[in-house]
Amino acid sequence: VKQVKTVVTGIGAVSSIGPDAAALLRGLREATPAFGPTRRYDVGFEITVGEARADCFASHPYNDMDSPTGRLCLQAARECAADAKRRGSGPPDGLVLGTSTGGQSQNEEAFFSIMDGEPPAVFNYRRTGCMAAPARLVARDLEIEGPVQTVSTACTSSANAIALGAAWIASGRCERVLVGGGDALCYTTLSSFRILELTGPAICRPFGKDRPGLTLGDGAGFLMLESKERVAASGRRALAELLGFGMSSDAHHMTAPPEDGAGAERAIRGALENAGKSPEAVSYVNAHGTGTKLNDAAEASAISRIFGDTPIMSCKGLVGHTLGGASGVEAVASVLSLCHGIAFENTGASEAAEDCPVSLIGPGGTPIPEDAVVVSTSFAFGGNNCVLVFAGALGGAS
Amino acid sequence: MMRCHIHGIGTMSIGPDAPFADTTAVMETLPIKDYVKPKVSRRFGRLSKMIYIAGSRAIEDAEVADPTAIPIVNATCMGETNASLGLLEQIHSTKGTLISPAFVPNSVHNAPAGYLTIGLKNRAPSVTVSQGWLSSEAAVAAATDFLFTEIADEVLVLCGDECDPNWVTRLDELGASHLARAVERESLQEGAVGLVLGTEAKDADLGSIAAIVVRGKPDAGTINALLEKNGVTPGKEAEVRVRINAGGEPLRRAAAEALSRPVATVHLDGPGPGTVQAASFNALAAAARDPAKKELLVLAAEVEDLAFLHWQR
Repeated sequence: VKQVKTVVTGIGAVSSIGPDAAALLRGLREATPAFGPTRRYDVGFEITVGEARADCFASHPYNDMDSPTGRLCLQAARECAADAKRRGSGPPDGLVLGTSTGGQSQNEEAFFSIMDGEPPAVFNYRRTGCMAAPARLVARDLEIEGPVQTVSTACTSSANAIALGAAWIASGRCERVLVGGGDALCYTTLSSFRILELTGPAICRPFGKDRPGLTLGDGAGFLMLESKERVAASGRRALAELLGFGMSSDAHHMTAPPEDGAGAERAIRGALENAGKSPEAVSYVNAHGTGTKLNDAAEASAISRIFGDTPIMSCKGLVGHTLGGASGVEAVASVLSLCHGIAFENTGASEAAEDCPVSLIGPGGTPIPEDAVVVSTSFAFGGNNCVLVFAGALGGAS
Repeated sequence: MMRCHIHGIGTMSIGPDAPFADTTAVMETLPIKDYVKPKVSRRFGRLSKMIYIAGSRAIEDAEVADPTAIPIVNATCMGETNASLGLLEQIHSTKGTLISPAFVPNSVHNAPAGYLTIGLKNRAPSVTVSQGWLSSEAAVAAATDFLFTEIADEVLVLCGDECDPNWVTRLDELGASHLARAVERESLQEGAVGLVLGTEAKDADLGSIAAIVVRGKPDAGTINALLEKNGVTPGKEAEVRVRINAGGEPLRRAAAEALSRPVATVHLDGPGPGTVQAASFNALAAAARDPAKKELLVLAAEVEDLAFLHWQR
């Protein structure tokens, strides 16, 4: 696979921790999650979630395109574009947005109103309800006049979006692509993960003993990608480099990985090969680490075969599983880690379970060099796997 | 812009004269058993069945050497809609406490691609894109990315959507007749199309394609700029068609002005072998199979997106 040779020149993130990347950085340093019972959803079961505060949902004047996922994405996308601008970058001329719910909250609202005998006067599925609604909102707000793409591969949506965006840079289709994605909680996801017994009232402990399952959360994360060559020629400093990506399919089961994590292993090895890095060159792994029994055991199995004792962590003990936004938020966390020279701790568990033969990064995190290499893994329903490899940009932090 | 060569085509759509109301009956006879064991397909929704059949037919048509290794780009606007609506109905009636677990995996947009990878034992990269009614064009753009980055030299591209006449009936029953009429006006049809695309020409007769979705206005200046930027200069004999559902009459006028020629408004999305997502692909499939056709440009616009799909032999 051709090397993409792209760099990150801006970041933006929103989650239950707070409305920007600075809040995420504080959370990662302090390992202080903000989980609690749902305040927004009237469900008939007990569930703990990471709900974002009201200031995490961007205000905008476009009522015809509104959705909670759209507003979360817009918050992070605006921050990312502004961050890139501060660093001398121009506005994005392309957008690849990953989401697993899109405008589903709007569909739910309309559907439930119909069922209650109070149908809305108008419902425009194409503008507010469809999967592309958040991308269209972000593109309109940021006045993007170039290619727009929505990727929807469940929990790998943002990672796949980042990979496709890198291809746009490499092929010359765009100069600056806004990539990433997000998902707001909704009735569909809360009820679905609960009925599969993957979530509940207990807080997630990725790779930990007696882990109770995942904790769902709101979240969005975006990167601005540009050509490494072009940024270097302009004398600007990048935040990090996206060295490569790897994708694979499990071809096994719709909601469960193979026990040995074979699909995950193929994606990780493919990403390392694309990045031109050996497993020994990797400083740490920002793992998918949902906190479910099956995922963590399968992922740990793959990681231990490839990396041995290389330390790992998961962001999900801090911000929860933000589904289509997870790999966007985790990409931002990886870039923050590289900029600040620290691999953050695995919030929620410092000791790995017996079925997870991995070394978890403990309290306080661990230092990493300026030119560190980080692998960020993402896996999804449908057996979809996508792995990204980032590297420090040697002094790019600010 | 890189062009992709068509190596094979597979379609799964109802007959040209079948009315919307017959869709369910037709789809119940889907020949899915010809392509995958019932043990594997028993959890498939209708869309997954259609996508599976179209994809399998495209693989056969292209004589793909190793179906377990071909990357997949899937596109759908609405996904497995009946699974999603079923979930919502149960969530509404039970506050989410009692829903069918079987609906859950089918409710993600990448369900059809996931089932296809399982059925084919395909472990290659797979991406699902969804850009409203312009998802098929978005899929070709993503496939181009796959080919450009040399993930493989051949990609299976799929697009499809399901629809159900029962939606209209149900909306009427629930007192939402104005919404039922709005659904009817969309003239939805269901179906799927699969294309095998490659970097090199395998069967010159099938031609090559390029496509993209951008945020842009459906006016003459933007259309010209879009085509020029992407290296597409339609020849004088090129057939130009506009997807009615996606853009409609304003786009037709703009296209005629941009290209300085009459442009027919063709109801690609309406009753007939065309379907919501597969409309553009069906148009190019028909052109590719007609020796008299040399070049086709399909334009579409939706909300604030503008798309084209350009085929030439």
